[in-house]
Amino acid sequence: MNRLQKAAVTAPALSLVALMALAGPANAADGSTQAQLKPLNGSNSTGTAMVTVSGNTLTVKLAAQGLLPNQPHAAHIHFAAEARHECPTASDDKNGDGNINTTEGAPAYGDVVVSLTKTGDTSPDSVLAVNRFDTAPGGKISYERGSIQVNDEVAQAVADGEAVVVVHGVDYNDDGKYDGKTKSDLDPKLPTEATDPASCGVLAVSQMGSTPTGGIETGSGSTTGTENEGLIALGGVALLGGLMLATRRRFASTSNN
Amino acid sequence: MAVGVVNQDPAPPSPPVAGRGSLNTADPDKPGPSHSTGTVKPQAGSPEVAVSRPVKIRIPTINVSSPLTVVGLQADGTLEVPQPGPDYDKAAWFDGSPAPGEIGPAVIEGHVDGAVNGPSVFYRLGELKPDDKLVVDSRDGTVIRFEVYAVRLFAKSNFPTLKVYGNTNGSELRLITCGGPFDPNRAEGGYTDNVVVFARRL
Repeated sequence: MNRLQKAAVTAPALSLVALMALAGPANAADGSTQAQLKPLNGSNSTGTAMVTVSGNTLTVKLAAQGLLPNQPHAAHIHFAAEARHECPTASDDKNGDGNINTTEGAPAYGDVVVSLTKTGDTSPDSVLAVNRFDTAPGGKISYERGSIQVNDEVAQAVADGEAVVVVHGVDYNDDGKYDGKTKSDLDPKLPTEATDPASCGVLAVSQMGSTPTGGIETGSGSTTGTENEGLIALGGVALLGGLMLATRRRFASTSNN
Repeated sequence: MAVGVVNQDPAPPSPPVAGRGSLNTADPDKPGPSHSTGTVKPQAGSPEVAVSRPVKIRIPTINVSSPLTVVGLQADGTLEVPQPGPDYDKAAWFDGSPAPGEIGPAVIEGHVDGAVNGPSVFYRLGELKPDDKLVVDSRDGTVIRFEVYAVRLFAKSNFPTLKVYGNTNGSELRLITCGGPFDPNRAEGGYTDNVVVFARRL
């Protein structure tokens, strides 16, 4: 290619980049997604995840419960173009040992593309950064992290509903720690309990164009009173009233049956 | 209920408190036939279901008949509410949610009360109970009927976003207003809870 041709090819490319820069960072992808995490490997872990994509930036909220308490739980966003974009099922248990390890789940959910660490790097390099994952005090994770940078392919995959959230760490023998003879398929220094998937959910595209944060401020309080003492008393009365209503409705519904 | 308070409307009715075992309804945690697992493919605004913008909501049980204004998200990601003025006491459809009649959770909110007129459009929302019917009118004249299947009270501080705004298999409604105790020291506004009515299309 001579210099002129090269210039002709690169010029439009440059102007496209310039255009994208002008239009802001929202060119990779935009959207909000959500997942219901369901138990895997006989764990009792369930949860929800919400991931918002804005350009190449992800914001992740993850809530899970029923996990082994006070032990690190690696959590990732998985994706591969050739994956099924699903959570694994019993048929993915290739070695037939009754459990699905992380590798066996890959045909369903793909590779680790984001490590949901609490601090520092979030790339696949941190796949087993055990000291930076949530340790689930009380068996619960309440995780929120923004400004997670991903490449265009991953941003698009998440926005398209093709990514999967997986939380790892299953205490098969219920002894309160990660142990056992079987070693992890990811790191032979760890027991497989530490890395096997505990719960999984596909990040489905939200039916909401945008999902509001938290509750709604739809009252001035004008009907609850104007004096503080009255307000507090009325608050209690309102609650009591609600309970009484509930009781009445239970009666009503019983008689309807 | 407002004993001892002069010239005071009674405190608005309140549904059972979520998570305290006082649920009197089908539990939105335990999906009914039209409630999704959250893994359905996106259907909002799908072209084969062209539904025009909602213009009116009618809930005969609690004597509500209100034109619908439109609200969006505020900069902090929370839902806008009708501002003081002519629209304050009207119900409002959130334009980031599906239109009522489309697949997904259409969100309609309204104030429980206001400084000027006292009780507002959704003052009695907490009185609704399962099987109560309501109607949304679309701009093109379509009348879309819904049936309540759950009424819940959620703390704003621990609002279950996915339970309320999560994907659904069918066309559903979420009616939202304020409720619960009134805390005058709360920075964002006094009511600590939201009343949420879950309804599905008939």
